[in-house]
Amino acid sequence: MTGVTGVMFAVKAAFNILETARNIAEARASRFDFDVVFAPLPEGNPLELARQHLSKSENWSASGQHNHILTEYADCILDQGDFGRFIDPDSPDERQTQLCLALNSAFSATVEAEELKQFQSVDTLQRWVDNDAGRRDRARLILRMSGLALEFLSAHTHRLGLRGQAQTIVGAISDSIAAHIERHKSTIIDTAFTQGAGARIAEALLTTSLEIAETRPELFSDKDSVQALVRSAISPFRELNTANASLDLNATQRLMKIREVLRGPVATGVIQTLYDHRRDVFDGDYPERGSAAGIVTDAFFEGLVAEANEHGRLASIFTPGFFVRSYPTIMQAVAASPEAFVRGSGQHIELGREFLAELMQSLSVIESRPQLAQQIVQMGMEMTRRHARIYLVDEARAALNAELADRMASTDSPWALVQIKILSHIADGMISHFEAKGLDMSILSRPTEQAFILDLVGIVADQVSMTPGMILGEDVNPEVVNIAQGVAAFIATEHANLISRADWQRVSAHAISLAMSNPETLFSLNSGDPEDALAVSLVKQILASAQTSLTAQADGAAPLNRRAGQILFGRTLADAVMATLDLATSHARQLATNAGQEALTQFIEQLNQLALDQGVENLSSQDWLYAFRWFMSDVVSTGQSTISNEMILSAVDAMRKGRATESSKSTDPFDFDHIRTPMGDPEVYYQPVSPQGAEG
Amino acid sequence: MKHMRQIAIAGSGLAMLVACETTPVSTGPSPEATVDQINAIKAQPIEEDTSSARVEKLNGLLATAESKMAETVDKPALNLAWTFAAMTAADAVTAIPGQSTEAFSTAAGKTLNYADAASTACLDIGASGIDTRQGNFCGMALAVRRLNDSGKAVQAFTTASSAKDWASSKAASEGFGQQVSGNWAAYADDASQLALSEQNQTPFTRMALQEACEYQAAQGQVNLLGNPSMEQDVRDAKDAYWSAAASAAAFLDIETDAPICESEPDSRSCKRETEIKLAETCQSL
Repeated sequence: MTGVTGVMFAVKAAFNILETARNIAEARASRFDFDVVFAPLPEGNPLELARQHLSKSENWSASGQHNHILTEYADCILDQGDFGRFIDPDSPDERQTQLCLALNSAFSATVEAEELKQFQSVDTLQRWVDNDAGRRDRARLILRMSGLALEFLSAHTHRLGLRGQAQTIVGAISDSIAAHIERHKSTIIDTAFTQGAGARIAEALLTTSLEIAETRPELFSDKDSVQALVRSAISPFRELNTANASLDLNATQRLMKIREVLRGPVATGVIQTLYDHRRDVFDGDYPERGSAAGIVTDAFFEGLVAEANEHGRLASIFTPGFFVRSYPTIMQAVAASPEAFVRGSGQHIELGREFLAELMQSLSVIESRPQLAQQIVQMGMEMTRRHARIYLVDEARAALNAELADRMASTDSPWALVQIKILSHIADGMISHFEAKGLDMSILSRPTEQAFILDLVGIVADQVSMTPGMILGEDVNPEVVNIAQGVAAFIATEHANLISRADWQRVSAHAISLAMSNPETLFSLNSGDPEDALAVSLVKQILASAQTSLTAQADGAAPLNRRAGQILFGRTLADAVMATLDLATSHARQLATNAGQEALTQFIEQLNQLALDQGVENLSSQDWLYAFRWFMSDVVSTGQSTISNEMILSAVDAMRKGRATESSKSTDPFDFDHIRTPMGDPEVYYQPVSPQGAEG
Repeated sequence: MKHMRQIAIAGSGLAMLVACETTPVSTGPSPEATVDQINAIKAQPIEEDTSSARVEKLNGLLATAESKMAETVDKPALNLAWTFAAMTAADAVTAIPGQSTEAFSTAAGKTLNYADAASTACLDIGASGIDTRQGNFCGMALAVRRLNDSGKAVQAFTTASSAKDWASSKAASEGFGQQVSGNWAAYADDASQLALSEQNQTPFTRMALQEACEYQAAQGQVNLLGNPSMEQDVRDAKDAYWSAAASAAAFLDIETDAPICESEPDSRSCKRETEIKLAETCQSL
């Protein structure tokens, strides 16, 4: 559900990034550079070379130093006038060879390197292979990594174009040059046609152009934002020009300085200005501030500006390090505004946002892949822990609604409608408590456990229906909801698994029955939190005490390892809880104090230790319960656990004798099995027999 | 059949994007990589591989490029790159010796077709739509298209002159001269229309020189100008050759300082001197 939403977001983002990378690769591929390498021409034919040497008029001028060759080899040279000279193919081969060697020795290649320049293409093409494209691609990928920003920027770079203003600018420059010439006419006349005049004129043009560009950016655009951009781009050049005016730099040195400025102050100035005016520059196309695109674009820009200000050079910005440095900034920006990325409402949306925020936050601090895996696992565990109960409660609510629908469909009596309303109240109260306080996940994770919740609701409803004053018109007394929430609270307690579901039903039914008969005692309305109710507090204390004893008795093993002497769990524990609740109806004041509860806890632990020491032969679970019930009122009343082990064992022994005597007369008075089932009739179950009476 | 024009186009790899190094992306073959492979095959020494195996590999790359061309019809820039790769592959096939006439003709036909397609794409995109790098493609494709018939003329000249068919040799030379005045000049119009930079026009200039050099070298191989015959058909063939070579040299701004060209620029002697200057230029490359 919601987890899926978060995961889907991550998956989509991953695909998005991959798609961008592929697009970049394709775009890069579409403009790859190439060299043109030409195969060498066929080896020259010696006779052809000889023809060229012999026919070239320049080689045989009147004062030519090699003219003797024509004479020496006249026997093998054919001269056909304007058709040229060449070797007679009928002359001896040896003579032909000698002539070729003589000609080659006399005439080397006469083509100057300068003449070949226009044909030297390979190096020229290589000029286009630079790193700028790589930087652009990296920037694009980085922006896309943040999801959306680069696409936006690259799609709107045309807004920075100045093509339409060219004519105006040229005109303005021309005007300024004219004014410059007018102002410096005498100097120009004096220096014209002297050495360096060209450089001075170029200097004047450059200075004038820069002056115009910086001081009159309105010629480029009416928009303040574009004017700011022009200023930021031109200003460093102007400063450079001013600083270098007195320096005698050659063209290469000047070019180097311009490049430095271009990659340094110009680039950083443009970036800063672009950021400052981003919403104006891009008009209404810039993403809304609170939108996903706006958040990541702003974050990227901020990172870019910070980088630019720190490094001051474009080349230092678009490096692998930039990605590493910008990444956390973007991730944190996303983490701070997950609502912009996961829109909607409801629990699952909140979980999706939380998932995204946590993921982004984790990613922003991750340094290594193993660490990432660990972070994600931890985050997933935490998310599951926090949200699982929401899912489970949702499931419980769904089951409840189904149950209510069934009941609605099965009856049409007025009471049935009231009953449904009561059920809704009770169930909602219980479920709300689970939702607020959390719950052992195992309780609601299976349909059988959901049925358990419904059974508890049914128990409460039955008790309510049979208790005068608990139904008000068509609704229930607020105490009913309090009781329901209280029951839910002690089922949700930490060590609830020490008691089985069936025994919890008995405990709940007993607690509800007591509560109905003893208003405001076990589940007081005065308590704001159901967990503060006396019944809940007592149950938690007893369960905690039982867990402590079981843990100690296990001697390092699992608490419930069925070691001899381990008694207080399951049915015995449930009976002890019910006995305590019984006592609470008459000793509520004492049990509400810390002293009373601590004394009771100490007594429980004393009995547990005694059972462990004596063994089942001397202290069985029935004996334990008997002793607990017999002495608990004294312990609670005095606030001290002062009962000696001998006295406990003596009472147990007396009880055993009395039980043997009474066994033929009645049911074991301490057997809670006859507690009515949720749908059964109420009856008195507690008829204690005193040790003294038994003895007597 | 020997392909007279040999162009090796080597894709120089850009530095791998650092960002891509950390993001494994599989995008299949790229035009760049394909051209690299084509040039790698072409660069292999002959003894390492047989011609037929090379042709087979090149045809495989050609098929890949053709397939990608079909896939990228909606992406003009990428389609142009793949068309360029296909043209390169087909051209490389024509440069492999020892092929059948049919195979050579097929490859040569494809070279021209793809050069035409790329050129048309460039002209469709227009001067405002192509960047500097695409300008390189366009400059190259247009060069191949405009120079293709020159190669055929050289081939015809070689065939005829070798067979001492001087009338056909003369006609072939005249055909070469018409290419210079027609298609070569038309390239200048194309380049102007696309506002190709000087750098982007360099491949054409270099390839045109290569064609002229091939022509001049073919003459040397068949020794037309060293033929002592004074028969009219031979003389006519020589004159036609000199005229065509001189016009190519002039197109390429190859000039001689010979005094005869000052006084009689249209004379046979001036053309002879110019042709020698062209030959020297070719030998100096």
